[in-house]
Amino acid sequence: MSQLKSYAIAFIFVCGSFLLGEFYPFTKFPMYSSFPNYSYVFYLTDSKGTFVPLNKYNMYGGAFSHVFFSTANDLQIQNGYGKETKDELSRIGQKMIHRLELESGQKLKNIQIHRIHFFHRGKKIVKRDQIIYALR
Amino acid sequence: MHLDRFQYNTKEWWYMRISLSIIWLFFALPSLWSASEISVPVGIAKFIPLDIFLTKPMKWGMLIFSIFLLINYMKNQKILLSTIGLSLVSLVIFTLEESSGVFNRVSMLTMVWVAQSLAILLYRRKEVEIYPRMIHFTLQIIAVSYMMSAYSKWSSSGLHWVSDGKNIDLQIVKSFYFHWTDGGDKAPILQGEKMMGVVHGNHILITIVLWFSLILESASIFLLFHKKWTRVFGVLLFAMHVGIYVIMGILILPVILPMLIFTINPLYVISEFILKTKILIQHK
Repeated sequence: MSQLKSYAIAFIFVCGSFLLGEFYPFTKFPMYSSFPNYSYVFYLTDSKGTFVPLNKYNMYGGAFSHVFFSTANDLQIQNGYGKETKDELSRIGQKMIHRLELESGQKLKNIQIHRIHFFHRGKKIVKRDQIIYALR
Repeated sequence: MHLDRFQYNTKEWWYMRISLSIIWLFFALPSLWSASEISVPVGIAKFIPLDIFLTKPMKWGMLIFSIFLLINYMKNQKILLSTIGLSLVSLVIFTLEESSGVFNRVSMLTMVWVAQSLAILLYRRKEVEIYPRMIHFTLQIIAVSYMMSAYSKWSSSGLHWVSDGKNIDLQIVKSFYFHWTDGGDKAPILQGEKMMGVVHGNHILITIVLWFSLILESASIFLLFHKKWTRVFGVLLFAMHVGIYVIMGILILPVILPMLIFTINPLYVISEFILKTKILIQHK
């Protein structure tokens, strides 16, 4: 009993993380728990295709990528490996733009979200760049 | 649990409190200020409407309250109330942040306060000095966090986690491209390509590094058994994070900094070094 008391917080954190899953502050730290055969990078261009840095909108690459995955999960869209449909990508993209507007306090227009999809084909890395959402 | 293996002097504890307070504020302040909408509710935000905390007066209120609690904590006064208060404030601030859809891996920044308040609640009437328990409870959160991370790897990928390491180049290229998307500087892309060359040319080394990480994380429970081991694990885990940064360009500061404070206690080490150097100079 006294041993359990000595390690009470470890016990609570482990049980909480197993019972509640990803329920902040409980977590099983799932990042990089696997190395799948894909990775995504998101970036912005204006309507003419000129690159627009994310930090212009108080955003950065890693966080913008998190917004993609958390939005996809929230919308119950299966994601990863490039399996999202055009329509699904567009729905996620719309929410990503909304996040940019919130972060920057600006109303955006003439902006496009690109997704670069990296994956292995044989020993080569393939890079596919597509516009997932365009705001006019 | 033999606390005699975990003897810390009050100066060490003071530096831990100062360091923890500073880094907590460093992460909490921008998270609080940038919180603007609960787009993807997580944790308690699923059940409790936290929108009220998004207003400017509430943000100012939380900031002032947090600073009041941190001052008390640093001065070692009203320590139970301070740690409970900080647990709650931290829970709200970082739940708001995670509910924006951005995950900054800030779990430890709330759990350290929960751990310390629980240690006081359980042991305040039994022990003259409560702080060794508070340190040990915080270390439990650190050890268990790394073990949970190892568990996720074992359960998601098993032994394939290391063999699938051949796909690590896709994560590397991604991380370096992220730096390009931030500001448009193409230098990180070239750096990423160089790093991929290194990874492709040193497959055995990468396999060893991945095994080292997995074993180290799995064994981190041992840092709870002796202060010497705590320090050894602190150094090894820090080396692992440096490796992750060099190879993948990823730095998870909300995990690294609490770990460093409670295992190595860098500010204390620096202060002792300065003190000993001064004494040495004076004796010469």
